[in-house]
Amino acid sequence: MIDFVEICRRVATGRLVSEEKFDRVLFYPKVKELIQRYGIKADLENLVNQDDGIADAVFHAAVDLVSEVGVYCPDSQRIIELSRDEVLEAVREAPGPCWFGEDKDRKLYPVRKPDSPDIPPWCHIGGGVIYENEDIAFKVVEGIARISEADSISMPTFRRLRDMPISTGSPAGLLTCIRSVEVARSALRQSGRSGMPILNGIPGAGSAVETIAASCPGLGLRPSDGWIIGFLSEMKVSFDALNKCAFLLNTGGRIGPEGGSILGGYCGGPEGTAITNCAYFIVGILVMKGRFQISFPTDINLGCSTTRGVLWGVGVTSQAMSRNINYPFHMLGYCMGGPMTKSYFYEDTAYLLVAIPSGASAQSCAPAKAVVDNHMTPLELKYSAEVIRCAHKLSREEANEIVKRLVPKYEDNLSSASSGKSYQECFDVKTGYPKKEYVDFYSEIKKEMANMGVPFDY
Amino acid sequence: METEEILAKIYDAIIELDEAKTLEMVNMVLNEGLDAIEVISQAMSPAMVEVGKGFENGKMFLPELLLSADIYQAAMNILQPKILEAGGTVEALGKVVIGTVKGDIHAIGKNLVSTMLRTAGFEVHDLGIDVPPLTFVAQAEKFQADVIALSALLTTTMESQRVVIEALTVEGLRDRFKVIVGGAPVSRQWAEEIKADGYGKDAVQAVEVTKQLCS
Ligand code: B12
Repeated sequence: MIDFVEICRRVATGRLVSEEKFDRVLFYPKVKELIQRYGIKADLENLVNQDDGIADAVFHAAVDLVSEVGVYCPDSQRIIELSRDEVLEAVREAPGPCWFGEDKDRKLYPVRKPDSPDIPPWCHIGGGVIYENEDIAFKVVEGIARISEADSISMPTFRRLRDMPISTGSPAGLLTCIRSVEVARSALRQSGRSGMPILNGIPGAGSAVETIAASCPGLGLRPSDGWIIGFLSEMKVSFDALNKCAFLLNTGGRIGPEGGSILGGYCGGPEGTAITNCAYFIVGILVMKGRFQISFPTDINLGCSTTRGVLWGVGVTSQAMSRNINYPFHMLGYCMGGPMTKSYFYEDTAYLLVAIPSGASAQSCAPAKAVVDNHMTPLELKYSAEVIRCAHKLSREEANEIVKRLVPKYEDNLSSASSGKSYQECFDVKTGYPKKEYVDFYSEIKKEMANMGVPFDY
Repeated sequence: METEEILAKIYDAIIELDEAKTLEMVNMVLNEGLDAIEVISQAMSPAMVEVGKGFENGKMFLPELLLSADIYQAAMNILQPKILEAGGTVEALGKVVIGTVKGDIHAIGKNLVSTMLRTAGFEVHDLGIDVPPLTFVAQAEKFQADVIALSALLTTTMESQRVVIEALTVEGLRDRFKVIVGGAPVSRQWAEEIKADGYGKDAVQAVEVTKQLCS
């Protein structure tokens, strides 16, 4: 496979074009052409695709997209061009399953296949949500550590340092990135899960400087943790992201490229969203030297992942990738509904039932799109973990039948779904345990979902 | 061709994103001596509204929205001189300076708002991402903007919206410009707290509120 220095060379010498030309003249028309070339058509009535032919067509279209368009860097205004042979080589040499964590919390993140009840998915829990202060963030991590289904965690961050609201890029912002790592690791230690891997280094980091600072050994992160590095939509990579890669490749941290195509944006509809989304996996391996991947397609109008078009793309991406690349990955869903709303539980279940039987691993879906401060609690995450832990027992066909009945339960109210209640409202802040009202709510809805056919373990 | 027929053809050509045909019809309008203002209000603007609706309900995508905005602009470039010649005026609904605030590189929402404002008839100056507070102020002065639109996607960059307002106040310019804020973590409550003039939860609201602020 071409190496990282070669990527650095191409980003500095590739074809020079404006960003607008890349988006509108090179990228979008190519996506449309590929949809035609492979005759790909979304079926929005059956959101869990059953046709392997479509999944493989999407995969081949993604290979063509990467080799015919390349990856744009807005900083150098150049295209990192990648030949077809190089792309196919990267697919062949994908890095395979990956160990994360330490001691008793050390586990193998598997590569799955569609309809594989014998390979449970990796269960990644949490999200880079912002809490009022570090005490609450600490309690949230403790709450996640108590979720025994969780294999790894995304640490949260917080809004204030002492009494100061912090801003990204400022010295206080950098200090907060460092503190967030210390807080998360110490909460995990205190909970008795010191070896549990943290996969989202570093949630508050606005740039490579913060990532590098907060990754210093001794602060809490170790090479057996994961670092998330984002592509820009669509098919772009910044110097900043490549700087993070350069650092991590030399310090041994596991790189998790993240890419999410945006339905309605430069990749068009569900078909283009699926093709582009798959292309991110290929360039994740090739350009960022990823060890595992996070994928999060969203809808441009709602910013969530639980519309029909996006769900179809999630299923097809999961199938296309798990069938064709030996590369561990998880899908991350953004729900409109927040903590203690029915919408969250319906959306989360639908998303996971599309992704997991299709061959993906999964992260707990983000309540209120992970954009509202304090609006993610360990209880809906626990629910999500329970779905992740059992969804692989369903075949695609069985999952499709449940999803068909589930989506109509929330879709008409999606745009007005409530962002729900905050951690402080759902949990007793002193003890860090959920309030009775929320426990009852959770039990009730879990019963409802079990009756719909979700095969919970208990 | 009847006036109505020409207007209908222009309307259709824009919706079909056919630039050549739109411009051909617009030129025909001028040759036949039709009223340019009428072409804009009866055919072009309604077509843009329709394109916007198509985008909202998932029938059209961002590249098409951008293309329709380009076609609209190209047609305006032909019509504008004629209107001016005839002693008329074609004023944009207002001038907007827009950008994503300092420290924040999220571009997609801001681009969408900027495109929708353009298609609604505003003159938009997009300053890009990671824009420092005083740059907003300087550029708003330079373009004699009516509105400054600030996008922030991180809770930890929303603060920068407050700083832009502070900067306007310090420079004694707070009354000269209206400030509208938005972005996923931004709420109406936040907008009130920092004393912004407007808030929009999505691009559609952004256009509505900007219209109100300019009226
Ligand atoms: C895509 C994305 C990215 C992409 C951005 C690519 C790009 N070129 O823009 C990448 C991967 C680069 C990225 C990076 C990061 N991201 Co980000 N990202 C997102 C994501 C998934 C979608 C945002 C989006 O584009 N939505 C689609 C558009 C159309 O919606 P929108 O932006 O909300 O805009 C609409 C409205 O808000 C409104 N609007 C927007 N601007 C304006 C302006 C005005 C004036 C008005 C009136 C209205 C308005 O109208 C728009 C159209 O309807 C969100 C999650 C989410 N669902 O929102 C996280 C999210 C915003 N990101 C987040 C984070 C933490 C980051 C990083 C810090 C992660 C990291 N540590 O590296 C970095 C930030 C780096 C930086 N310095 O900015 C967090 C923010 C949490 C918080 N509350 O602060 C979110 C919520 C996800 C999460 N919780 O993990 N991200």
